[in-house]
Amino acid sequence: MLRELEVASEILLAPPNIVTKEQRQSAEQIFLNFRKTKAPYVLCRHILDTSRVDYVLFEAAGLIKETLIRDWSMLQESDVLSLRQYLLQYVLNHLSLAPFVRERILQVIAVMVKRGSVDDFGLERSSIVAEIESLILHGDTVKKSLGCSIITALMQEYATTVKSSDAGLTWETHFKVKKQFEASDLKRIFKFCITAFSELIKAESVLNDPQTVNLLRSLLSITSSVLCWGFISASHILFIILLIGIFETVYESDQTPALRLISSWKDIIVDEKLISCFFQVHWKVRENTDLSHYSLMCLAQLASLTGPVVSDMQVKSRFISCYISNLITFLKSIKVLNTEALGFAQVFRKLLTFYSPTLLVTLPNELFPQLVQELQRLTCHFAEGAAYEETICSEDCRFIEAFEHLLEAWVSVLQCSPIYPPGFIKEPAVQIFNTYLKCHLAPPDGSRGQGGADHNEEEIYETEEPDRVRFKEQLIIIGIFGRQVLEHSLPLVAKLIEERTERLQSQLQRVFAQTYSISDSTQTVNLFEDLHWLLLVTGHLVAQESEGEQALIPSDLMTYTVQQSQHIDVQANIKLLTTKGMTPSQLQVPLTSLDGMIRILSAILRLCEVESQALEAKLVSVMSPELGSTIVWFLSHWAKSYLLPIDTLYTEVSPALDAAFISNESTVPNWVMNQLLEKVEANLRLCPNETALAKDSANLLLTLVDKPKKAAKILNCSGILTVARFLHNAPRCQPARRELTRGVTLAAAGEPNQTKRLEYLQQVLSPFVDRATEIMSSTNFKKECHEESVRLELIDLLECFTGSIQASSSSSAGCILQILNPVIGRLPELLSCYSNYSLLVELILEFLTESAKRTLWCLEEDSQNVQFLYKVFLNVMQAYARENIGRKSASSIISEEDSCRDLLLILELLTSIASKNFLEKISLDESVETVKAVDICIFGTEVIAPLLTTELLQFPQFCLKFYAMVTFTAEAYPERMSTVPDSLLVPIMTAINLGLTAYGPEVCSQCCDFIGSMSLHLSSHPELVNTSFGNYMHDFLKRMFHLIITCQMNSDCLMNASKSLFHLICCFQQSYHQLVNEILSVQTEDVARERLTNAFGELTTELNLTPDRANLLKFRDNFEKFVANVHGFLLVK
Amino acid sequence: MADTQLDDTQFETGDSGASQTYPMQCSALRKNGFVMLKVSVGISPSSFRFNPSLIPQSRPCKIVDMSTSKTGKHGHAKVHLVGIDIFSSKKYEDICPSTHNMDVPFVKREDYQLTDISDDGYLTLMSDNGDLREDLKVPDGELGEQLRSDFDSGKDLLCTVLKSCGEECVIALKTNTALEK
Repeated sequence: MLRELEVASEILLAPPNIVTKEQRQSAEQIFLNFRKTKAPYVLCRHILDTSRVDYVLFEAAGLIKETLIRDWSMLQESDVLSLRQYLLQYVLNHLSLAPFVRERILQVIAVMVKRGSVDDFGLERSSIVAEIESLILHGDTVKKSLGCSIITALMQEYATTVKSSDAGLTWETHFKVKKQFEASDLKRIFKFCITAFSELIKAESVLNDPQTVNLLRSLLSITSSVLCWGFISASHILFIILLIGIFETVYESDQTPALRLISSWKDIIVDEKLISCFFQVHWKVRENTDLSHYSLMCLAQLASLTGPVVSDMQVKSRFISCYISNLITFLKSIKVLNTEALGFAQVFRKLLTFYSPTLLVTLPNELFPQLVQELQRLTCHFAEGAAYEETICSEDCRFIEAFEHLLEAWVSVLQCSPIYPPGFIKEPAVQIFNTYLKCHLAPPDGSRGQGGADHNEEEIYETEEPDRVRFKEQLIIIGIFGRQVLEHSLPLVAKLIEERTERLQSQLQRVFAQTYSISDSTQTVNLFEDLHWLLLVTGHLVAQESEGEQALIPSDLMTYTVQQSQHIDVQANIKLLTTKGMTPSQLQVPLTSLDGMIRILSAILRLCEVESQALEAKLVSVMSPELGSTIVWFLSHWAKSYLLPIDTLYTEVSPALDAAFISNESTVPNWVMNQLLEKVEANLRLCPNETALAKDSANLLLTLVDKPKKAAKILNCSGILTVARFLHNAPRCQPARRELTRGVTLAAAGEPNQTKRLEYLQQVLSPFVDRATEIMSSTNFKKECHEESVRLELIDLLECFTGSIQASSSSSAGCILQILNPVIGRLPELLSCYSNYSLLVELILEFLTESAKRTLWCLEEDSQNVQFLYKVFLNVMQAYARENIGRKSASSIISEEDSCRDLLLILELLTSIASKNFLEKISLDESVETVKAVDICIFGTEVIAPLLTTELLQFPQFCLKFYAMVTFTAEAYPERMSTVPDSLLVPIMTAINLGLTAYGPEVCSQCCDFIGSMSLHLSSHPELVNTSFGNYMHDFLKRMFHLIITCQMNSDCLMNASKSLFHLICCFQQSYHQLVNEILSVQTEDVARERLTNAFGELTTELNLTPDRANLLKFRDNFEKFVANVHGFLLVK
Repeated sequence: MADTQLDDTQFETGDSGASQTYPMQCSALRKNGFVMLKVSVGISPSSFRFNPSLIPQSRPCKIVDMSTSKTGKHGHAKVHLVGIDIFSSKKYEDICPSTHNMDVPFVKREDYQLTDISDDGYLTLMSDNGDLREDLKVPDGELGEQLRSDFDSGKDLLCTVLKSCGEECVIALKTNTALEK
């Protein structure tokens, strides 16, 4: 037997060219059989004693473990004891064992200890820990490291995570023994590790002796896992079930949890010696990357100490004072190594996250100012490192990461700025702001690119994030720093932008005069990059990110400009702003009389002017599309807060800003707006091939119309009609056409008078409509439609229509529909013509989907417009069905999600229609003969059903949308859904049944909701019970219970499941009781059956099985307990 | 690059007369649209001089992937095209500055009613206006099998024929429901 195994292991481990596939398979079979051996203890002992083949030893240990777990309850205590002692002795006697075999055997021991501790409350474990303690403290180096391995194996078994092996315990028991282990032995382990450390670090140098290094590594790994241990204080099983999920996510996200300790740890943790011990350990090992990783992790975890152990404020202050003073002394005496950067950044981040500056400022000996000083020093240092890593495009981005951590730490510091003495934060803010700028500017002003290679030749793909996305977090915080010292930062960036714009201008003049040399072109690229970064920094300095909220002028900036206003000459500012292309010195305006913000904006408008002039002069190939994009990004980011804001938002506004950007009375805001519109138009016209630039420019247009107040102003600008005219005549396939049309259409919201609004919209949209009708009304259209030019033009027009319908608002939807009406009515016909051209089919469906989404909600259901749209939807779907049912094409094997985009769009359309009516169902008037939303939904489902395949459902997006649509329809129209013909019912119900398990939690919740709505409907319509619909619902009762009890249903869906189960139980009470009896009868274990019986009893206790809200809520609570309870004892980890 | 120099030599395929392609700016191309992509041949450009038939030929392709890139952060967009030959399903790639022109094939799709399949595998197709043609073969692969079995079982079939650059083939079929009404 042994010989056979040894030969088999040789074959298994042999390189592939020596053995055949068959040999390998039969060798594998030998081991698979071996793993099934019954009562293998004697055999395994024999193997362990005699074999020399590591792999066989490993398998033997594994077999022991599996058998132990399986047969634990049948084993004699004495057998267990002797086996464990045998294994322990075995490891002690075979010190030269291969590490993986040793670990495996130790794991077996750990499993035995853990199982044993369930019965003896950990008595034996404590004695084992005591043994190991003496091994570690007094044994020789080899024994010491063996001791460490045992501890590691033990801790792994008791930990909460997937790391521990299946020990055959339920979660409930697992948590019980884990708590027991935490309370008794974990602290002891930590303590003797510390003792061992203090011995080890007495030596002058610890890194020379490899054995000591190994031992240190083991000890550090143990202590760091203690400090990262997921301590749980919850005692209730319900919480525990919830916590499992939380712990798993925390571990996966590699963010270690805070060190949260109970008060019994006080004597050891809140100890000055302990803190200085960890700093000393790090001092000794910092040259060794491997070890210093652990020691820094320990330090970072200590910095996050919270919980009852430091609930006393004095204790807390004492602890953190000691920590900080050690930290400062340490940092002052060393130069941070590259490998330490990330670790120390973590220390600062944790420290400032868990210890608020409000506490830290109260510490004695100026500790907080010193800490901030160190933080500042490191931040500047890491900023430089990060910039260097960026230039060399290093894979290794430890400085970038470390820098970002430190910035996070700064956020905590900056948030508390009101409590610091005046000027406290100024110095660091100036330093950090300057350093950041310097790192991103070319020499001589800055240090960008020094030491790095030239990257101007590198290919950059569109998938790469642009800087403004990639470095957004950094830039936001740098902006906060800048706003701490506006008197410094505003003039600085203004000056830098002015200067570089001038330089750029003279460079471009040289190009024009053809005196441009190669060295000039490098300089130009440097200027582009400088300006690019200056705009990014300035953008975040003057305006905050405002996604999803009202954009505001930052209050510190507002206060600053108000304070400055006494020196400011409003007229001079306006003159500078509105005189195109002139610098302050050319206008002879003293810089001191300029408002900071206005000076910056006029500098940037000047840059726009320089750029546009160059483009007009056909220097497109010299200019940078990237800088162009950054410029329009800045303008749009800036305009969101500054240009024509709602003035009631501000209590005080500086006169200069008011006159330039805010006031309704002033004409200057209008002038600025027109400048921006002209920039949009110039970019589109002069750089038609840069898609990204076109999109960013369109985006600027959209910010200019995002508020009715702005839209009202924009209607007075000549620029908006320039853009519209550009669109009417734009070259074919102009990028961002849809967004641009949306922009010009949105402006209509600014016109309060309905007739005038219609007039404006006609002016903007009619040319598109006229052109489309002209094409489609041609007598030869049936033939012409296949011509490429016709098709391309229709594609462009459809893009415009979609853009305009996207701009629908409650005030404009009616007008837009009225204008587009002639085109919309012909879409079914168009779809039939182009059924062979997927792009056009998709565009038509997309247009309809958008119109369902954007316009239906603001129109009355029985209004003409809605009826018109409904009919079009119906006709288009009929046309689609006619063209696609029974169709098979050469590319029907779906290879990409793209190929089902048309179906996806139909689903989206149906969902929008179903949801619209869901909101306004009450207003339905049954007497009038109208198309109802429900007709479209049911018809649409009929169209989709025959095209539905399991392959199609494998596409996550399609799958989600399909289920969402079916569920929505069921919620809105259960009466129709329950009476659909079998030809439709069968595919729907099959899909729902499949969705419960096959496609993840989100789909599962949808299916539960579907069953819930339909069973609720059934409970009020008992006559449906015996239909095939009723039969399906009946089957769902059993299926869902089965899924829940066997834990096949994701815990995220349980809330939805409870609702549908309750309704199902209400409908089929008798079947429910039968089902319960069935489930109970298959339970073999008495205890489990009894607990299950009780659990079922409690599930329906104190509630009536009538489907009303009160009972439903009660059932939901009961159900939650039921699940936690049942899984607690049925589910074996 | 020799390739670009040869670009100007107009390469004619199939029947003469009206041009089979037209130029379009590269940035205006779309995914799922069509473009002529060069068939790369593994020979040195110099050998073209001796054998004109080795001049890289272009094939009408459906664009299945389109992405842009630029050289350096402040560079200008270039378009990467991946296309599949609409007749042979072979894959071709090309890269082109977004301001340059590419040739786009005229592509037509027409539906014909299937009236017969000859013994040697030719289809008898009838157009909308009743004209008959018998010059197309049963398509290869799964589609061809489906076509035969559907035809044998007596279904009325419509075939979608794709035509471009003088080549034609059946790319889709569908059961004709129009006749039932």
